[in-house]
Amino acid sequence: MKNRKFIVFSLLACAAVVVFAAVFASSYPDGLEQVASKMGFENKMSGINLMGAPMPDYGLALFGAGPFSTLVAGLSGLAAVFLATTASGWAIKRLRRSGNG
Amino acid sequence: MHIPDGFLNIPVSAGAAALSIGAVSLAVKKVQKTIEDRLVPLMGVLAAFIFAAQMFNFPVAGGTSGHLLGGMLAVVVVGPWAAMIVLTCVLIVQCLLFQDGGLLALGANVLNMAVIGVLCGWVAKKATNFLSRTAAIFIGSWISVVAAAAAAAAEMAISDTAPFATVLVAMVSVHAIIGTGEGVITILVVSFLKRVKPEIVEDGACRAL
Repeated sequence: MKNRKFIVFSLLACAAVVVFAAVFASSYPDGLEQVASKMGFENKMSGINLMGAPMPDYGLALFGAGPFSTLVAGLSGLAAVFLATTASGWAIKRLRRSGNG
Repeated sequence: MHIPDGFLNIPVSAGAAALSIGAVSLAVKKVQKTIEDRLVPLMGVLAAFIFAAQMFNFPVAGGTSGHLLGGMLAVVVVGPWAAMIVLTCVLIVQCLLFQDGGLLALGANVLNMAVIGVLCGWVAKKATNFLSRTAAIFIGSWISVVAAAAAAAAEMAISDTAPFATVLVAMVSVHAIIGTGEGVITILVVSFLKRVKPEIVEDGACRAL
């Protein structure tokens, strides 16, 4: 598969994973949450949104809590992660070109 | 296993952040030496996939869920140093946009999953490659999850959140189960990639890229 085609195909596959996750992901506590609640230290969690994260718990207040809210948050996150990582990659490459590496 | 704010005290958070900055800086230096144009979008796609996969929590025993961490997958596709950068990018976005992992705990989460998980998985895979590649990937995946869980337990214990032995046993035993899921998913994704784009999952591919 050609590189460009592979990138586009992969990003579509990632979007499909987000759709699947928004509908089917288990809402059980994860390993750490489970340990915290069993050992009785989950109340130490501050839960304060220090940075004012716009989509806490993978949802948008605008759309309430449900698969659609998760879907919109997830797709936004997907785009953000792809752009942030690609930008970091380019930045690292540029640093080398400027003779720093 | 993203640690929220409140489980770690300030010295542990600061120490973990310092170690993470050191390790990620080293990774940046290593990647600079080999990075080619083709690697950059591949890192982006890999980060996107790991982010998406981390949203899918699968149920494991006893009303608990787990999700892919993706460290071993990243090692197989882009090598350990670029893998650290990819995982760090995912964790930063999860923290800043979704409050998944606390802001003060970000350094610890990077240390556990992007640094310790990736390095332990990579070493375990190298050490077991003689068995078969698939077995080595499974073992590396499992080790990466369990090592990250043990590191998280140690940080919480040093922070006086929980007694060391108890929290270590609890974290390691639940993540020993989640780690098998990590192994299975990683093998499935790698064998799929092998079919559609074999050159990115061959050993040493990151050097060729």
